[in-house]
Amino acid sequence: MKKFLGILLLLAALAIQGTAQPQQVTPISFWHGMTGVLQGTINALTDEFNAQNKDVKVNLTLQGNYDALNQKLLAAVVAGTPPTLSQMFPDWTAKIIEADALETLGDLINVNIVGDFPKSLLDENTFIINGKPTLLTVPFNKSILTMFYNSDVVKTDDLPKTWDEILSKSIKFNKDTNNDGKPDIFGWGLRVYPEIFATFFHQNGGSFFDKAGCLTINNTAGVDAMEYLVKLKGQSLYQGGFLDAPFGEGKVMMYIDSSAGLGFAERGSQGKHGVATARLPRGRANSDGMIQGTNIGLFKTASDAEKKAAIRYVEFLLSVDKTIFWAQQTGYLPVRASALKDAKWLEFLKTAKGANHQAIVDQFVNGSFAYPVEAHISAWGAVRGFIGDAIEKIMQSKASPKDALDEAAKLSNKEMKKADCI
Amino acid sequence: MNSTVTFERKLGWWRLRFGAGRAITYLVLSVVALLILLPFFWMVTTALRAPDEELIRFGPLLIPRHVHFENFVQAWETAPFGRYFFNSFFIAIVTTLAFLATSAMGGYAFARLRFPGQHILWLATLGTLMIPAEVLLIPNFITLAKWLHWSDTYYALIIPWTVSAFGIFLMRQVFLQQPKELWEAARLDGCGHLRFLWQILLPQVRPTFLTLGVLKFFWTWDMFLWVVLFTNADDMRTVTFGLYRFTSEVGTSYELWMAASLMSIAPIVLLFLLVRRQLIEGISRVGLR
Amino acid sequence: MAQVLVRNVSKHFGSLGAVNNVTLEIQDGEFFVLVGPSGSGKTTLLRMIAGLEEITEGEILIGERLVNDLPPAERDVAMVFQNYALYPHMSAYENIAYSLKLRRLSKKEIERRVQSTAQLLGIKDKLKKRPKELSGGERQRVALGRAIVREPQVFLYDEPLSNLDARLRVHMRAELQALQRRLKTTTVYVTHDQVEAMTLGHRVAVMHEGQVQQVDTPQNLYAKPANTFVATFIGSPPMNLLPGKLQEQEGRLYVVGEGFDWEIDSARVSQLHAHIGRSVLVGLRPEDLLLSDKASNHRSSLNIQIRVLERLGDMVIVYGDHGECELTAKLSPHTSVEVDQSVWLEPRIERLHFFDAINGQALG
Ligand SMILES: Nc1ncnc2c1ncn2[C@@H]1O[C@H](COP(=O)(O)OP(=O)(O)OP(=O)(O)O)[C@@H](O)[C@H]1O
Ligand SMILES: [Mg+2]
Repeated sequence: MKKFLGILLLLAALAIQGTAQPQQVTPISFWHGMTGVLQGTINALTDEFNAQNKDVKVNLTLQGNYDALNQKLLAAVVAGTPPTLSQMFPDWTAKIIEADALETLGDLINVNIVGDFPKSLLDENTFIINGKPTLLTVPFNKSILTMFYNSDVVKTDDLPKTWDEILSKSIKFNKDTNNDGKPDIFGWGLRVYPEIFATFFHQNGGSFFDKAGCLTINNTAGVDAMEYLVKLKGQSLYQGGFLDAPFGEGKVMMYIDSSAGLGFAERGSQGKHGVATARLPRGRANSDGMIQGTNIGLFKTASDAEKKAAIRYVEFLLSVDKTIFWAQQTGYLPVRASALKDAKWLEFLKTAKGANHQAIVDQFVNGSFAYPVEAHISAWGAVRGFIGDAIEKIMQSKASPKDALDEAAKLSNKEMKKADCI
Repeated sequence: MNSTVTFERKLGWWRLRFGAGRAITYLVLSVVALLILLPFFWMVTTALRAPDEELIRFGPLLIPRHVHFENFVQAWETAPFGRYFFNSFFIAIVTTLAFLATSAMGGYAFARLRFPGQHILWLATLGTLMIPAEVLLIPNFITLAKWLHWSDTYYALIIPWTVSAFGIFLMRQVFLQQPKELWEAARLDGCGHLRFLWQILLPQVRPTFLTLGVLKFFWTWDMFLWVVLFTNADDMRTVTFGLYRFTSEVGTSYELWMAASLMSIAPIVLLFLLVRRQLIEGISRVGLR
Repeated sequence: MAQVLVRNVSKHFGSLGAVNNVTLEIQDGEFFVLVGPSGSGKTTLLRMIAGLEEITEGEILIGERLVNDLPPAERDVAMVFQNYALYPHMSAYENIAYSLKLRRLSKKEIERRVQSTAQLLGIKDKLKKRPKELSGGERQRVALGRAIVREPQVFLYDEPLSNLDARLRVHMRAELQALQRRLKTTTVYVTHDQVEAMTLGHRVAVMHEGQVQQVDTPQNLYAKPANTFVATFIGSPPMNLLPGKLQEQEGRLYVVGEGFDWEIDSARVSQLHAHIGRSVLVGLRPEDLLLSDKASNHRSSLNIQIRVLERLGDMVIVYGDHGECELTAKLSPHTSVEVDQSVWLEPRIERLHFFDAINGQALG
């Protein structure tokens, strides 16, 4: 009886609300894996959008971290209950499209925005569907590999411009403060993960796939790059964890990492020494840095109203204003070419806070690349894992670069069902 | 004559060895204790430092220059930790109690009862141990989220974890070790199965049972992926989920993370201290028997 | 108080017949012992009475009530287990009181009954202790107390003394006897120890391979064993058995075998008459063999060479071989015999037992 009364009251309340608010509100959900400042910023942007668009309510849901988000997304796709929008890395996207669960977001949003994406970002979001390149997702929180350095110690002249200079210039900063015969302050800090390898490989003139679609990281360019990294390890502080900590403590003068880590580098160095960024040193072929970060995808399960609302929200996030705001707050890149030329952005680069973004943007505009479309496959997660294993073995001197990369290539090609590759 | 002398010599040698053995034992134990405590110490010192502060190296220990208790406040305020704690406690307590009940009853049924289909059921129960959790993730998600619509409910967070083959298996094994006459004596005294299980059998295996409970509490408290999978609403989430707010792909706020971690393990440490006495009592009782 | 009737009861474990068609009539207030070698089905039978084992065939009645389908608790029987099966986590008091608690007796009544039981068993000052803190004998008493306190119609004991040391066993045996005399509760007592059986039982049932061989008073079991199994099972050392033949000569009855030729006393001629000409087994208790000298008629004595000799103080037991058969004799302690000595033994003819050589049944 009580329950029944309660339901009646609820219905009455809804009815009253319905009459008071004639406008229909379309709720949409956006799943993400961003914490800290990123979460604060996306919350603020979303609040702003919700306030401006009374007919839409965007519900942000943090799914813990990217790994958990990935698993939940895949489960939800299988169960047919995905959100309206979600962050996703290209290899997740590849898996999700096997279930034909994604709308072609690139075709739905304003063409002016699509036309304004820098090429490396377009590359990264393009998938081959039925033999046709298709812009399935749109870039959102994008970063690029950048060089960080201690500006109190390292002067502009000391900055390495080439791989050889990394070796020759960084070693000058190695210091043995406790006289145990081993340096405890290092010119260079090194952490090697697949994207770092990918960058050195690319800079060395390597390309990931041959014409047949076989992974070719074990070619001369790859082996050579790994050999170089092993050599670099010998004179550097090498560790598996983030380098912002030893950098902040003054134990490392220079290192390469994702530009998204700028905030952490600055926070760790605050009050101790200056932090600056620079373009990556040049390899044999080029000085490109690799694009990283997630993109946004729209799910087919959403209703038309939800899709329309979602598109508006995505266009809002990708508007020149908001992508600049996002970049300023988080250290990620503005994802539109026109944003990079926008007066507000240029103004920002001149501020103390924005100064370090100059080199990052320069790297982005003049030297960036992404995994090629061939890597936009669901097996890429496993392939990346094999590459990671090979790196681990090489850096721990458990295998020669050639052997380890051969092994990784073999396993990868098998995983990608490329039987004909050698 | 000669043999007495050698015998005494031997005795002295043994004494010496025994004494030295004891010293070595204590030494090893101390080192192990230190190794176990070190991470805790590191947690505490990290939780108390400023984000940009270097830790002073003091032998193998790192001490912060200044103590920043406000890290705890800041960590607490990063997320609705009050709600998270409530959820964690509620879920862990209910899950643990229900799990203990099903483990005891299931273990008892397989150890002491005879019923049709028992063998097949037992094999099926053991079979579930062989299935890797990853394989079950999506089927579970479909069952709970899609068919039962249990997303964002405590049902999804509690019910699937209240029964496990492991618990049933473990309890069955310890029940089997108990003499059969205990049941027969109780039966003659007028006990039914449930009363026997609760009043006679479980007290015999209390250390195992309590340990199982403590472990289950840990595991439940530690649950992360499951919570993410079945909740979207922030007020359904748990402390462990909250801890992930301090790490990201590009860096970690160690001082806040550790502050929050300390808060998160505090109840567990407390629980352990509470149960420890019971555990030791139970264990020594077994040892004396 | 009640009588226990076991009617044509059998128990099968799969194809194994642990108890086969057993019928027993245990009187009200009787101390009834089940004795037999290991595996003879004593425990199984007892457990069927207790209700711990299902009855495959037959009926069991306790005080005129058919109990086949009654759960143990409703049979009004109490059982004492070989390993006592005390509840380890409960004090002696709680152990004894537990069944009363389950019956929802008042606290006061429980207290009264536990105390008086403890008094009876002399464990009043041990009530607070847990089983592990008690000696074997004390545990035994607590186990007894647990049975007694219920004031059941029947006590069932399964080798309750076998976990005690020899001294304590003798002591407890006497106590059990006294206790039964006092309580007058019908008791079924399982043991494989014939001394226990003989000293405790008003009547004893000897079991073998799931069957009751003989039910009788201890004296009768000893004096008139129904078959060779009982004859050799009861008595220590066991009865000697010699193959022979019953023969009639000139109106007299003889039993003739290898190296002997005994005339049967006239009192028994009539009962054995029907078996003349048959092969028999002659039973001779060791104490019924007397040392004799060579001079007497050698066909009346048995010649053995002493293989083993045991001096027990109050007697000397000698073992030797007579043809195919081993012979044992209990001799006076003053006898001066030695190992390897050849001696002549003469039976007390009036105490001979005769069994059918084929089925082992007593003749007459
Ligand atoms: N639960 C059972 N399952 C199968 N066989 C059984 C079971 N219980 C007893 N038996 C068998 O039944 C027969 C009789 O066993 P029981 O325990 O009654 O012998 P017992 O006379 O009590 O012997 P003991 O003096 O060794 O205790 C034995 O052959 C035994 O192996
Ligand atoms: Mg037995």
